[in-house]
Amino acid sequence: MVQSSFHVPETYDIDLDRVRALLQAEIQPESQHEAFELILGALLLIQEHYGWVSKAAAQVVAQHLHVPFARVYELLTFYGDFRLQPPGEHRLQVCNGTACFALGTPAVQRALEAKFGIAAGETTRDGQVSFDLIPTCLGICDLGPLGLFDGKYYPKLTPETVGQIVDQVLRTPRGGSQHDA
Amino acid sequence: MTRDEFRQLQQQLIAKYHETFSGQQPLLIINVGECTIAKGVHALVAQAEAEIARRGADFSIKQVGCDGMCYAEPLVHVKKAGQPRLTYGRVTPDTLKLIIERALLGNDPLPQLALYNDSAEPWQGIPPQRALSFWEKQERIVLENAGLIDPESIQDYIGRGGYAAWEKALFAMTPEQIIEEMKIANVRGRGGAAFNAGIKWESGRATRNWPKYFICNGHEGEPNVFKDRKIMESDPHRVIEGIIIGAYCLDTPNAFIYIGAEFPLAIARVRHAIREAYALGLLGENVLGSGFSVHLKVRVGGGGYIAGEGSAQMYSIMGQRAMPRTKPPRSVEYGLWGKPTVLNNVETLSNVKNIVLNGGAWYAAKGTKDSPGTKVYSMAGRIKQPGVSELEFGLPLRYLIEGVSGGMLDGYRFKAIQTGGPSGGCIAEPDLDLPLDYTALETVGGMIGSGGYVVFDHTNDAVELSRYFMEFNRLESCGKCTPCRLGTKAMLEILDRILAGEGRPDDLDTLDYASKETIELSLCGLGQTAPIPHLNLVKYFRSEFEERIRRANPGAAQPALALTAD
Repeated sequence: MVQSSFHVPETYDIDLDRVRALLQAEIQPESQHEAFELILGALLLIQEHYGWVSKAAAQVVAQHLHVPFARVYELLTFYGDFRLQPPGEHRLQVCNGTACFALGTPAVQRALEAKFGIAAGETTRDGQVSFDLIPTCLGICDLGPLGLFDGKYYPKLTPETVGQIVDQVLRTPRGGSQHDA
Repeated sequence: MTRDEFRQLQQQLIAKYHETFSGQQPLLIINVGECTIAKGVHALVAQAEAEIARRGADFSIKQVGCDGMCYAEPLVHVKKAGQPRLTYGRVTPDTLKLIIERALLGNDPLPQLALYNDSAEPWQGIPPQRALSFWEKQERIVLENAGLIDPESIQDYIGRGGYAAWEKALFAMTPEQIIEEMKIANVRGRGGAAFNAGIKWESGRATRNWPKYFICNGHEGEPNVFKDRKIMESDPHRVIEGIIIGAYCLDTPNAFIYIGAEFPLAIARVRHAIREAYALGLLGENVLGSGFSVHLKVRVGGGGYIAGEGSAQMYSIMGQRAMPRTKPPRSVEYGLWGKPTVLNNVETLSNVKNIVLNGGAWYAAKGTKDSPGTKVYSMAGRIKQPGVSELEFGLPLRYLIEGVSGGMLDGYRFKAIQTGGPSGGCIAEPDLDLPLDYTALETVGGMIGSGGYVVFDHTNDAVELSRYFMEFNRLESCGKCTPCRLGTKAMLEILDRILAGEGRPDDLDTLDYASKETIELSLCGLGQTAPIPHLNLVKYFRSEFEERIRRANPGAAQPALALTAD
C-alpha cells in the first residue's frame, strides 16, 4: 500500500494519556495468551478513535499489554487496515470490490486522482483530503460504484458526478457518520 | 436459569412473538441493515416515529434485519390482524407517508406500490411472495429468520424457536449423537473448502489433548462476498447457537468468533447478542444447570484476505501475522496455541441449529447427493435483482442469473459470471446449464466457493478483469512463500504490459506457464487459486487478449498466435 505523501510534523502525535485511558477502560487481558490476542483489537480501538496509529501509540499498547513492542509494530505494518500516518481532514473512500469495479470504479478513481493530484492511498500535501480504494468491498453491491466520504455513503458514482459530490463533502465540516444518525 | 425456567421463558416468548407479529395493533416493520442504512433508512424510521408521536400511538414499529432483497430496499412491511403481511419496496419519505395513511391506518392496501403478500394466494391484487422470481425457488434454512426478527433481540430469536437446539443438545443428546447427525447431514464447509463439518468435529473430539478450541470464521476478506456478514447482521444468535453446540461436541469451554474489522455493524450485533446470551445464562458457567460451561469471545481482524485461511486465522488470533503454514499437522491436532482446534465458517455453523432439531437425514434429503442442503449466494453486477438468496444445491447456474437475479439490466448483455471470488474462475454462456454443486462447477474451473458471485456484462474487458483479480491476489499475498509472492507480481506485470499496448507474442504462453507453476508450488489456497480467474478468462475470451497483443505487434510473425488462431 502506498503511504501518505503528507508531511507530518515531528511534534504531531496522538494524545497518549487518552490512549492509556482508553486501553485501561476497554482492553483488560485475563492471561498472557489473551494479552497477545488483544493486540489487534487494541490497535483497532486506537485507529477507530484517531483514524491512525502512531508509533508512540503502538508503544503504549505494548506497555499496556506487557508484550514486546516489536510484535505490536509487526502487526501494525502487516495488516492492511492500519494507517501509520494521520488521514486527511476529509476521507474519501471508493469501494473497489468486484461489482463496483465492473460497474465503473476505475473511471471514478481516475477522476478523483486527477482532481486532487494524488494517487489512491495518498493524502494531499495540505492534509485536507485523503483518497483510498477499499479492496475488499463495502458489501452494498447494488449501489456501485459506491463512495464512503467522511463516513456517509454515496451510491452510483460516475466520473461526471463525483467531482460535484466531493465539493459538497469538502464544504461540510466533519460530522458524525451515517451510523450515528 | 434452569432448564425448566428456560422452557417457561421460551413459551412466553413464542406467544409474545406471535402476538407482536399478528398485527392486533397495526404494525409497521422496517428492515434495517448496513445496506439499508446506505439508502437512508434512518430517515424513514425517524419519520415513522414522528408519525406515531403525532397520532398518539395507534400503530407500532418493529425494526428487523435485512431479508436479502437488496434491489428493492428500503423495504417496509405492513401487518394488520386478519390480512397477510404486505411488503413495499424502494420506499421514499413520500411513499412511506402514503403507506402509513392508507395501507396501515386506512383500508387501501395500495396494490400499485406493494411488491407481495406473505400468503400463498394473491390478495387484493397483490401477488403472493412466491410469484416473485427472487423468491420463487428459495429454500431458506440459514436465512429463515432474516428479515423476520430484530437481530438485537434475543426475545425475538427465542420466540422463533431459537436456542431450542441448544437445550436439546445439552439435555437430550450426547456429543457423539450430534456428531453422527452432522456427519449424515454432510454440511460441506461453506467457506470454500467444502469439507464435511461432522467429520471435522469427530476428529476434533477424538484427539486426546486439552484444552481444545472452537473457532467460528466470520472473516470475509474477499470482494463481493457479504453473505456471512448478512447472517451475522440479521440473525447473530443463530451463529452463536451453532458455535456453542460445536464447543459442546468438542467438550471445550473455549470458543472464539473472528470477524473482520470492516464489518462494524456485524461486530456490534454479535457482541450485543453475546451479552444477551450471557445475561440469560445460555452462555457462561453451568449452562441451564447442565454442568457444561462455555465462553465465547470476539476477536477482530486487521484486514487481509488471507486471514480467512484457517491456519492464518489462528495465527492472527494469537497476535501474530496472518500467514498460513504447511499441513500436516492439521488444526484438529495442532491449532490455536498448539492445541486441537476446530474452525468452521459462519454459514456452516448456521445450519447446525436446524440439523440438531430435525436430524441429519432431513438436511441430507435437500440438495444433491454429494452436495446436500442449501447454499447462500450474494449476487451483484449489472443484473436486475442483486441480493442475497438461499437455494438448494442442484439448480442450474443459469437460474441464479435469470431467475433469482431477474436477468441482465436493459441495455446490457451477459458476458460471464465470476464464481467463488478472486479464487474462482468465471463461467460464460456455454457452461451456464451446469448444476450448482461442489463437483460440477469445478469441471470448468469455477467453484461454489463462498457463494459471492458477480455478473460481468459486455462493457467489461476480459484483460482488465484479469488484471483486477491478479492485482487483488498480489496485494493480499502474505509473502511467506515465493511462488505466490513473486508469481502474482510477475503475472501482474505481464498483464500491465498487455494493457499498456506493449504485449509480446509469447505473453499468453508465459502467463500460462507462470500460472501453472504458481498453482503447483504455492503453500496455501490463495496462491493455488490466484491464477484461476486469469486462466478462465483466457479460456472463454482468448481473442480479447490476442487482439491487444496483435495490435502491439503489427505484421510480426507470431507463432504463439498462429497455433491458437481459429
